[in-house]
Amino acid sequence: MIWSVVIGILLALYILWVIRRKVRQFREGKFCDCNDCGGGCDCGCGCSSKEGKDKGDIR
Amino acid sequence: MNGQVINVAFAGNPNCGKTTLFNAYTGARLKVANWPGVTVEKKEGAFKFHEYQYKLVDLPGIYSLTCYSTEEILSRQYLLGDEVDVVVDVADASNLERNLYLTLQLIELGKPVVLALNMMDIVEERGMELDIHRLPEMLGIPVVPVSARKRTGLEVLMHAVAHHQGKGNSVPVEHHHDLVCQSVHRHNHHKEFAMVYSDDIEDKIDDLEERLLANFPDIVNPRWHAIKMLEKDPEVMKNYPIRTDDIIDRSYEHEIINQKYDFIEEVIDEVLMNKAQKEARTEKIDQWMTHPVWGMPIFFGIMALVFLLTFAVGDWIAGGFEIFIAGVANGIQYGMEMLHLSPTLISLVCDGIIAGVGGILTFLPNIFMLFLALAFLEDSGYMSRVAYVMDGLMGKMGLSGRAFIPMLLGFGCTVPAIMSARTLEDTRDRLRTIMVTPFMSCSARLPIYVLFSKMFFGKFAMIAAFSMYVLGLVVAIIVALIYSKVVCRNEEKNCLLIELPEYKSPNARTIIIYVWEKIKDYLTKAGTTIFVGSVLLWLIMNFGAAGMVTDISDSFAASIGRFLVPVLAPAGLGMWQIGVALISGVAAKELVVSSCSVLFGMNINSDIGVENFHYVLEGMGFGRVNAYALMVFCLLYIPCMAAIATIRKETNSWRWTIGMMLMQLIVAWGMAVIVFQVGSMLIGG
Repeated sequence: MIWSVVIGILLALYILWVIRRKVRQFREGKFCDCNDCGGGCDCGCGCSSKEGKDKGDIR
Repeated sequence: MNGQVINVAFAGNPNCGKTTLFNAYTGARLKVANWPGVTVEKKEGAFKFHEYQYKLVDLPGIYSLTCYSTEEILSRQYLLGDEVDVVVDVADASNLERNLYLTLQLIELGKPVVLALNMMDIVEERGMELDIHRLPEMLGIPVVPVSARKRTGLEVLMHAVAHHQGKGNSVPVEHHHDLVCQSVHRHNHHKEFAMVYSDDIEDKIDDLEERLLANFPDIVNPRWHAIKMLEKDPEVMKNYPIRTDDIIDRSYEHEIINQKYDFIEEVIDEVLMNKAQKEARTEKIDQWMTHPVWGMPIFFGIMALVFLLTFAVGDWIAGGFEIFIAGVANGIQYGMEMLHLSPTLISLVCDGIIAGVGGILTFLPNIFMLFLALAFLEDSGYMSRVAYVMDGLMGKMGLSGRAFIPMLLGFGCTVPAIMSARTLEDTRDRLRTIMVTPFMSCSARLPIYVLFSKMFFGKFAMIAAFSMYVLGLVVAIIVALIYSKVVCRNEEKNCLLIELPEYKSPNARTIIIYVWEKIKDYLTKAGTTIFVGSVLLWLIMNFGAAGMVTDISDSFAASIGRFLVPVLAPAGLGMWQIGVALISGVAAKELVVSSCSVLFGMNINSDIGVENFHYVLEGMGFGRVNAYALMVFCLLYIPCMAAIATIRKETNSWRWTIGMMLMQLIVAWGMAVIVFQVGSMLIGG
């Protein structure tokens, strides 16, 4: 029984997280992945570049 | 010196590899492809190298610094601002003649410029040679050969940037040519500037410079402003209102352009060896690919090959993959039973989540093959050719050939395809393209075709699925034609002006990144949207007005689906489960397959499961004509929520968005009804 409750709660939390994330993305106008648009939208493609700050390596 | 920030702007012609270079430095994964106009906004990135912190800005591709197009205005304003320390002019070395025109304009801007000769590997492949010592002498700027694809010369380029910042264009200019010795300019500009115009123009530039300095003592680079005034550049004329009528009697833009090209010709004559071999391979291939008669059949042949790979090879890989998914699903079920979990929770996980998400994951190999093939097409340089080949047909439908690029991208995903319509200059052309792009069959619809064609069309499954792609294209063209005839009568057709890039052997890194990002996107979607969608479907299927139900026909799902049955019945889709599956498909098209799996209580993770599903459907009177009508409806009805939101954003109009959705629903329903009614008459259900 306890496992059913734990797994049920975890599932519910995950579903809430997904819905919140989707709603936030839609509100921010992020409808695609960064690599898709090539700068064709305001989806915050800078995110890839920000990652690049840490990865910066030109060798 | 330690940690000093250098702001570097990447400027250059479209499709010269700026974004590939940008990605190579920053580790970013911005989209790159072998056709012009992929980047339409400036993008920023940063990285550390030696003691410097580099801030890179990737500008959209431009051919000149005039202010005719949005990209040119954006790039020019940025380059003229104080933010840029060094401009890296990325030039396609295999097409130097065209690229040097922008180079000369960038040099005239007066900012430190470093010329990055990209695609040197292609120059070598073609047997051409570039005199790398003479080129900087003639241009007065450092020149660094690089290959963004092969990641060579990258360190040297940043060394040059670091050394060149703050120095202006200080490499001594050595012209050597005869005309220089005979120059009678009032100032010997040949020692100062790479680009020197004829005497009368130089005199006017000098006069204008003096007047500009007298009126605006703080002006930066008066020579560039004087040249722009001679071109009657509206922005410069407006920002620097001085008396010019005694100097500028007319626009000298034509002469300035011609003299720049004369100088470029001199440069090319001196630095480019074995020029005759240029473009031999591309021209040979294009004799067939852009042939007025064979061009279009070749395109359809290539697309057929793409879908042959998607089905045949994809299915072959899927065999092993299905066993893996079935193993994981069985493991989860066994584990839950071992933990003695509540039967409701086990049903939710097994009949809801595993059936829905697992059903979608089964099609991953097909998706992988589709994107692999599309990546090859995009990176090889074929995309622009398709626009060129389709221009005649598209013109008849009221669209420009360039509009075909967003439509082709729609085979992957409708969202970026709609956004890429931004590259179309004409607003009406753009709206028409946005309107018809959702008819192109996106990859999310692929699982629907694979599942239903496999179940009902046996050895003709591939043809049935491929016909969806052709049908989508045909419907898109017919809708565009009707729109043009009804709404945009007497409208002048825009001529297609598109650069046909060199054919390249696709770059492994670009392909891997492209395919991986798509696979990642598919898996993320399966783990988020499809996951939640499957749970919601399970809930509405197992609960009704009176709480949890044992008879599925009392569930919320059945009640919702029954509303649609009378509407869908003429199309042979009069089953409440199909109605619910179609509604769920608005969240994401893959959910149509997941919903079928959950709503019919079938496990489609394996061949046996698919076969059982087939029998169940046939038992309910759902035959091959119904299956084909369903595929047609799924192809043409409203796109997913993300695409709808993108349409709203791009058109900035709810009226347009809702109008398009209604039109798509009517077209989908009408086509499905025709298919079902005619199909039933011809071959029976």
